[in-house]
Amino acid sequence: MLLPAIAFSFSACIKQYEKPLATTLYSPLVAVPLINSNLTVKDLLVKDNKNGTITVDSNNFLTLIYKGTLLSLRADSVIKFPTQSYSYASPSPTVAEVTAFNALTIGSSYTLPTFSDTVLFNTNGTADLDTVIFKTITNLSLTITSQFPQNATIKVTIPSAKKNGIPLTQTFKLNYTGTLPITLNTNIDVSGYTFNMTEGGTTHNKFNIDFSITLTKAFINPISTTDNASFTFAFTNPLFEKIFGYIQQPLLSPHFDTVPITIFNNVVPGGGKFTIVNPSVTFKLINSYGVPIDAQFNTLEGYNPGYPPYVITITDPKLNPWHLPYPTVSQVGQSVLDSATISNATTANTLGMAINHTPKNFVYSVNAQANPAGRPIAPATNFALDSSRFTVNFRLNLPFWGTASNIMLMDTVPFSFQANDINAIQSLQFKINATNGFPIDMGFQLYFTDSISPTQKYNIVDSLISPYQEILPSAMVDTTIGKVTSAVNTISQYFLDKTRINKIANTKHILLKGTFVTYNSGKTNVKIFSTYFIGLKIGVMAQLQTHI
Amino acid sequence: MPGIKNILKTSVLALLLFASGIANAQQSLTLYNMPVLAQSAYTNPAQIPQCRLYIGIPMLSSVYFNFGNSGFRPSDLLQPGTDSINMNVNNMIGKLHKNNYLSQSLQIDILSMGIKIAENYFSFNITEKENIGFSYQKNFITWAWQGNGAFLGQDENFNFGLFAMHYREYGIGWAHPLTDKLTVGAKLKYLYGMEDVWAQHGNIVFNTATNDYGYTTSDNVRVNTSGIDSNSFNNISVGNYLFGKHNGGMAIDLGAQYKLNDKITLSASVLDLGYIKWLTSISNYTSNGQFNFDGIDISQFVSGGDSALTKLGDSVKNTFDIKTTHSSYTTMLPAQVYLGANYSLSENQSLGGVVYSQIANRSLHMAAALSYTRKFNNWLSVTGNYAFINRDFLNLGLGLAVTGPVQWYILTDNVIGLFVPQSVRTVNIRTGISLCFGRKADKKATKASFDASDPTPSAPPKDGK
Repeated sequence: MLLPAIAFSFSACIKQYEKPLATTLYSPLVAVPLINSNLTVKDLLVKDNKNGTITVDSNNFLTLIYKGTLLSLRADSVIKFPTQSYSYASPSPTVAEVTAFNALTIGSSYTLPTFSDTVLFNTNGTADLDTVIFKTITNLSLTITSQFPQNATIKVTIPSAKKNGIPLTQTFKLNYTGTLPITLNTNIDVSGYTFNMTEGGTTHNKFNIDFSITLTKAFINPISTTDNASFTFAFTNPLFEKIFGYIQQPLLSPHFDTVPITIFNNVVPGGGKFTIVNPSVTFKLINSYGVPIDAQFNTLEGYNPGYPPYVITITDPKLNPWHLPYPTVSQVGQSVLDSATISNATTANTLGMAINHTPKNFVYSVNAQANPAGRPIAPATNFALDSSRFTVNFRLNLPFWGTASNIMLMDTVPFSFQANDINAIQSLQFKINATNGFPIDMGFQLYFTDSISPTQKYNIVDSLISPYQEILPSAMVDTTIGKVTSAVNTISQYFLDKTRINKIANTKHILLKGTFVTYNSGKTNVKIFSTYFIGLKIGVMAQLQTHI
Repeated sequence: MPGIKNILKTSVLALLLFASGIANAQQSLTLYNMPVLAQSAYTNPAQIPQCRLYIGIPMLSSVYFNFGNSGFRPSDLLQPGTDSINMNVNNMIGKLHKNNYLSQSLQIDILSMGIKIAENYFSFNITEKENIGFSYQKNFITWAWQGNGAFLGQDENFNFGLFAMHYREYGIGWAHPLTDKLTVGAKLKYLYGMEDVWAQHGNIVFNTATNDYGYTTSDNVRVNTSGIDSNSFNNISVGNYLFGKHNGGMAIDLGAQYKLNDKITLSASVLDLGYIKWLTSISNYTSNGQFNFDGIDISQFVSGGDSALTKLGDSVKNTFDIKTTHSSYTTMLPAQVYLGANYSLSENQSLGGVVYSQIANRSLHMAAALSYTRKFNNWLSVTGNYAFINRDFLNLGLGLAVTGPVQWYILTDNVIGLFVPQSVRTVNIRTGISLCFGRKADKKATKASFDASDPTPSAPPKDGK
């Protein structure tokens, strides 16, 4: 009786385990470190500030610099010569010259009198040229057409185009083969020749060409008084290497441009007050263009989209206008440097006021005119190399010394929870362990937003820090010098229960908002040094619940 | 019967003592109290069987399997509901002790034999043995189940232990009664190692900081293996595998039995005092480092870099960078100790007690049993025992031996585990068939088979009486 009972009992026990395995609730408490960073000014500002440069002086004091180029013109972009051509015909031989040639024996030669013509070089009105040296690639083509039924040797000379003191001369042979006219297409190499276009100091843009024709009697054919030769010269896209003369009075600008001040990219305009004790703008000239130029700022202002411009009024007489220094003839190929700096003192404080509006852009336009006084008086002259350039650079200097109050930064980050993840989360506890080494009270808020409609893409459904509080109090400051004496550490925790987590389940974006007030509610000027940092450690502890 | 009371009292105290947190690995408690079987010499080499000549049937004379988990019973975790089985992890964790041990053993006699010559008993065996032991700590299971957030600021030391060894034992035994009261025995064993995995160190410490939930992890892990890595199986023949490896070792078993008086016999044995030096197809995997992770350095991102995660990955990789070498190593066998006492109630009945301990993986594992043995007739003997094994009192051992020229036996330290394995921590069985010649079937022999105080029941008393 006992054994069957035991067997039955064992059998029943085994059968109990012949059932499917049910899922089990798994609810671990998982703590994860998210962020551990020591953020310096460079870390905080370099993002989206690719065009900004932070300089550190010997005392570790920081200055943010934005650079731009106000003007940059190369001579060969201002002075351009058009393609041009010139045609000439030789005088026909006289009766006596015809008689003399026809009387020659075969193999004898006869030279016709030399004749000249003047070339008027077309500069399109950009310059009165005294001398020009053309670039190597400049091509002077020549087409010669002979109506003489004999072999001819033609010498072309440009007396005012010289290389090493020797005029440009080229000789061409045209052989008669029984057919007229005899045509020759050729090129004249003008590279390295200095063309004097003054005809002895009496004019501009002109030079002479001499032609000499020598006929050689190769056949018994007679020439006649109607025979001659014609010449067509052509410059195709002539480019200069160096010019001297008068480069007229071209208006080299207006030049209108914008320098993005990206440090203010995320600052909400009109939301706070920002002062920098000593902002400045430095203009730096580099000029290798042998032309006097006057530059005048038409526009210099800070600008935020949707807001009126913050006009900067320059009172510095040096810049009204700025007579840009230039190299003399003895300095051909060299650059002349000059600079000017404006500050609150030379802008009637308008520079500081513009900066204090946290402009996202600096807008400027500059008028520059060459030869504002007209033609230089000899022996003075303009000159330019093809590579001559005058450049005016712009540098906005923002020393980190001043105050800020109620400065608000905002940014959005695309973000969404995975459905399974959010369902498994019962609660979240964020812990922020922060050490603030900046003289700035910092508050952060993180809003969870969903999208209701295309026009309401950032509908706030909840915020992480509720109620809002300042989580990074300013470091301690020596107010006499505005320098931090000791960092301040704070630990804060923020809890999201399941109800709040469900609210943020459909988050599409996270809206980050930061508010900043410098020490003493922005009433004390503070300095920022490269040694300052924010030690930021953020962790999250999640109560998870899922079935496994 | 004050003697019985004392034995019972001592035994119960011993059981309670062992319940404080010690456990067992590869015990054979029932076999220890069945001297009628030649295989009982495996638990005490001083044991001399009844047969003058014993020959084990190859591959069948002794097949032993043991599985134990000192941590919990399957039913602690898996609990039948109305229409499904539920996992009750919290209940399972509640059953765990600080250190827990999971073990498995398989032993098969390939050849075995024994013979009495005068007062000496000589035996020989070739046995294939495989032992696995894995130790784990309650805090790891708890940590994984409850999450690291429940253990902020605490160093969680996950001290894992592992050994898995497959070897062949060639043993020569000898037992001899030194006096009327004292019999001693020894077995010298040559060991042929075939595969091995040994976690020489398995320390991993994990800490989650309270202030920022930062992680600090350090590890000191070294795992030695022989014949396990992928190269071990290249160009290997059956002959090389069975006999050609160079992993040799030696071990010795020692035992003694002492007859205190006509009723009481005390016994003790120490088994597997030895080692194997592993030389063939060795790989040593070592990792030793510390890793701190306090979160992503966002300066890498705000400054436009994208290397923070890469650096994190590199850091983790460097910390847990496993270096592989190929140096020989030596493992000690898990040594075992039996202490026994036997009280003869009558010619056909006896009470026994045995305490077992094993030193494996740098920890001590113990078990104990109280047994009752009865010889029903000249060929049938039965042993029942109640044991504490794997921190569990739910162990009812049972042994059955049919003894004649052909001897068959089956025994277990926990018969419950054979039928409802989900409800026990120990599953254990040994069975075999062998030939037994020269056994005396007279009264004296019958008595002797239950009276360990007479180690040579078929031999005349040494004093000639």
